[in-house]
Amino acid sequence: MKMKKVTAVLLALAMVLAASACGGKSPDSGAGQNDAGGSAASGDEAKEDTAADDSAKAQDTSEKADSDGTADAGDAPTLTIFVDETWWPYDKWEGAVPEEFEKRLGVNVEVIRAADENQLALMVASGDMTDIVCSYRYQYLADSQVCYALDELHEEYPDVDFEVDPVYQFVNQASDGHYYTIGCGFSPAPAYEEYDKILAEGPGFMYRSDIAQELGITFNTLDDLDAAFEKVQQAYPDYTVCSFNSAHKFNWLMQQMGLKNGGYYEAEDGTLKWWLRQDGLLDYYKKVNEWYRKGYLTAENFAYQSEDDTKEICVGGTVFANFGYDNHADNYNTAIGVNGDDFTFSLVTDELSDNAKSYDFGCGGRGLYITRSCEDVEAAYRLLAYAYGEEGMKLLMWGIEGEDYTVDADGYPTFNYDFQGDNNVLQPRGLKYWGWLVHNAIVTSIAEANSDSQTAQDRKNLTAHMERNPVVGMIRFETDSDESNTNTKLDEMVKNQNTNIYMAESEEACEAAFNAMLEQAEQIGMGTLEEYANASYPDLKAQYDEILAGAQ
Amino acid sequence: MMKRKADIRKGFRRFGRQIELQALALAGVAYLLVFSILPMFGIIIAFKAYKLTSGVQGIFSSEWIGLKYFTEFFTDYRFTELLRNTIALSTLKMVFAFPIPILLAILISECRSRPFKRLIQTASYLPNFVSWVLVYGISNALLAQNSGAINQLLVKLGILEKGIPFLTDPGRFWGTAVVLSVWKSSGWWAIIFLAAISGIDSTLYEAASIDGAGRLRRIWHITLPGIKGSIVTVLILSIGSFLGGGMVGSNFEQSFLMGNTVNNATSEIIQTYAFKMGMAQGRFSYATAVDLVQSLISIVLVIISNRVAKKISGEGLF
Repeated sequence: MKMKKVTAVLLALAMVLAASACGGKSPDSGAGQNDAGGSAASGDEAKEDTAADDSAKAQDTSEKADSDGTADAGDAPTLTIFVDETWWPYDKWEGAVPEEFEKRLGVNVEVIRAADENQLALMVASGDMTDIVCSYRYQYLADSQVCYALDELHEEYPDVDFEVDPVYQFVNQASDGHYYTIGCGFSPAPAYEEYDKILAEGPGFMYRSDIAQELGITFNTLDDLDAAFEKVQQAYPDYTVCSFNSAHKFNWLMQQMGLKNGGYYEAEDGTLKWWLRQDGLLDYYKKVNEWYRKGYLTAENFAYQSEDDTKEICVGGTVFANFGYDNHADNYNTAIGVNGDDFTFSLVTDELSDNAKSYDFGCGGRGLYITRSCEDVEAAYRLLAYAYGEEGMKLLMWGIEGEDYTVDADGYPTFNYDFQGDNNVLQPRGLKYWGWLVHNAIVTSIAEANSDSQTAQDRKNLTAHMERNPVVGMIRFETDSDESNTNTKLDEMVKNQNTNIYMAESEEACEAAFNAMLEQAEQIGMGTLEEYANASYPDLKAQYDEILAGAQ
Repeated sequence: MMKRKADIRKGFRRFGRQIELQALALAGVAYLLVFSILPMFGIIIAFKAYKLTSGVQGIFSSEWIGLKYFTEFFTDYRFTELLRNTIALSTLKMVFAFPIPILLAILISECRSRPFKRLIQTASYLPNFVSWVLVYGISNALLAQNSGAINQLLVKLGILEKGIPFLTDPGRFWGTAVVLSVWKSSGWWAIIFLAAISGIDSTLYEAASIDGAGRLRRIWHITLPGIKGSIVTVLILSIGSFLGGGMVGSNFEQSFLMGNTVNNATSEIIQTYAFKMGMAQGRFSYATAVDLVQSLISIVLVIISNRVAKKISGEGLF
């Protein structure tokens, strides 16, 4: 009986302890398994390091790095990076390129990829974060309670070489006057002028080469799409005439029609207006609706929630054409080759309309942030300084010079691997995608200047139609502000209304649904968003021009 | 005074004698306190201008803003649609999903062939162990308009000209959701009613048979009254979680997984809206307010249903 009592009490205790352990955090949890390139011993040593001597070690390793250009990662600190991108193709920081990065910098890097889109919000709210976060969610992270401001760290670590162009500082400035990251994918206008060959990426439209050849289909104007779809529908009734990517939708068509697919656009009078007010937007909706009504598009496609859904049916061989991104044709062709099939997709690389226009109104997207949870701020800061530098960016984006690419006299790289290749080719060496964490616009814009792929050709052609205005991208909304909430509601409403318009039963119904969307947008507060933007836009533009002029 | 002390001592002694049972009960209470009661304190952010960048501390330090988020929800352009979808889906589930397990339990209990009875019981409750993610995958493979096996079969047999958009037509979402819920949960809930039926005194059936009662009469006059208590209990619990889908639950899972931009007009419910606003948009305060509204409606429904059940059947939960 006594034994029974003891067992019961022990069981109850075990239950309570087990329950309370669920919420606990192991002191080593941040540096869990060391998947980085270093040896197992180095990983264990790094885990045993205390926060106090991390800083000293960072100093030590940086000195080593300074003296001979490389550092021994053996006793290097381990930094954890959270990549807030669920689509990220890599799970681990491994391969020759990341190893070279660690060697040069003297750190071990451990990467955690977001399990879902909501993970970061919970991390921020709980304050339980990795050392560094890579995310596009500026509104969560550009905050002194959450992350360290880079301008303050410049002052704290003056010995670290981390020069940031004043234009980058300005465009990344938060409402508190500090800047916390350098957003990727942006370069100031003068940087583009240094190169003759600049490639501009964007959405794409591709079609089956074999079917097009058989039916004598060519694409020279936008009207050719209608003629082609009709021919294919008659010749291949079991085929899906045209599919579209769930993320990029019909953006290629919008681009050809000179339309912007979200956010603000600059009207002729210089004021900013919400994209729903663009002239010609109704024509775009009517065209897609017409294709749907004629059966070229399937209802099922509108329900796809993953980009893989479209890839699967395209690679499967039952689709004639597809709206997606400009690198999808090359990417899908690689997958088709792996499957052993002999058809290919061709990308329409020429612009099919005189109105074609591509808008780059961003001032940088995702960036690296040093969080307040970081245990070795100096090491993290050194990582950012190196990764955002020319050498670091090229290493992470292009690979190891001499081994993965060579640079010609004009500064353009020539790769000895397929830069747009399938992930199973790029991943073992850790190529390309780590560069997406930190790249500026130039590193990606000149990457394929010497390539003759159809993706590169399309990007070369698009450059002439590019319109850049980073100041528009600087109009940001603070978390949970009225503007932010209005913006969210507008996006959500448009997302839902879009399908009603696309899938309307007649042209009249399509127009009515479009007008209903505009009316609803007004009710939600489209006008107030425009007022908000126009209150700061002229001033920001003047400041930007002034900084640019000073830099030149 | 002396008597009170003696009572306390007596109480402790009694507690000591029951220590093994009390320890298990206390562990349960502690679990409930830590994971269910204490976190409810966080509800206060529904009335505060909490920003996630202010972290845990912000729960206490944020400014009080009264009913701002409640007003925002009630005046949201989608409020009526969300409420309609939530109530319609829940009502349909209540109407169809509640009686089916009772019927299934009666049918199984009336089945004479034991092997067949076992087979039916196992086959009917197996779907309960399949997650909603898998159910979504299966339904996609079977019901998709162009690539779904059922639609392809019907088209190839010439019964249909083109597939039925079960998963994309807003008009079919509720029906598809209810059918899938019933398929998944009926067998499981039937177990409760089967257990109740097995508790009915068999002599009552024998007596009724001798009196000439047929099978339907016996079900009507013995089985159903015999499981009345279970039916009322399950009904009250179902009404308590009415807005979550009642006894078959799953409103959130279904709307979240099977909802898409095409059927959004009927598939978006209060829970998915709160999830999108709270988690995806980082508006924790607003999402808390939205969910609180739903919880209040649920509490009111439990109290009303309990009173009604007490009046009608004389039995209630509290």
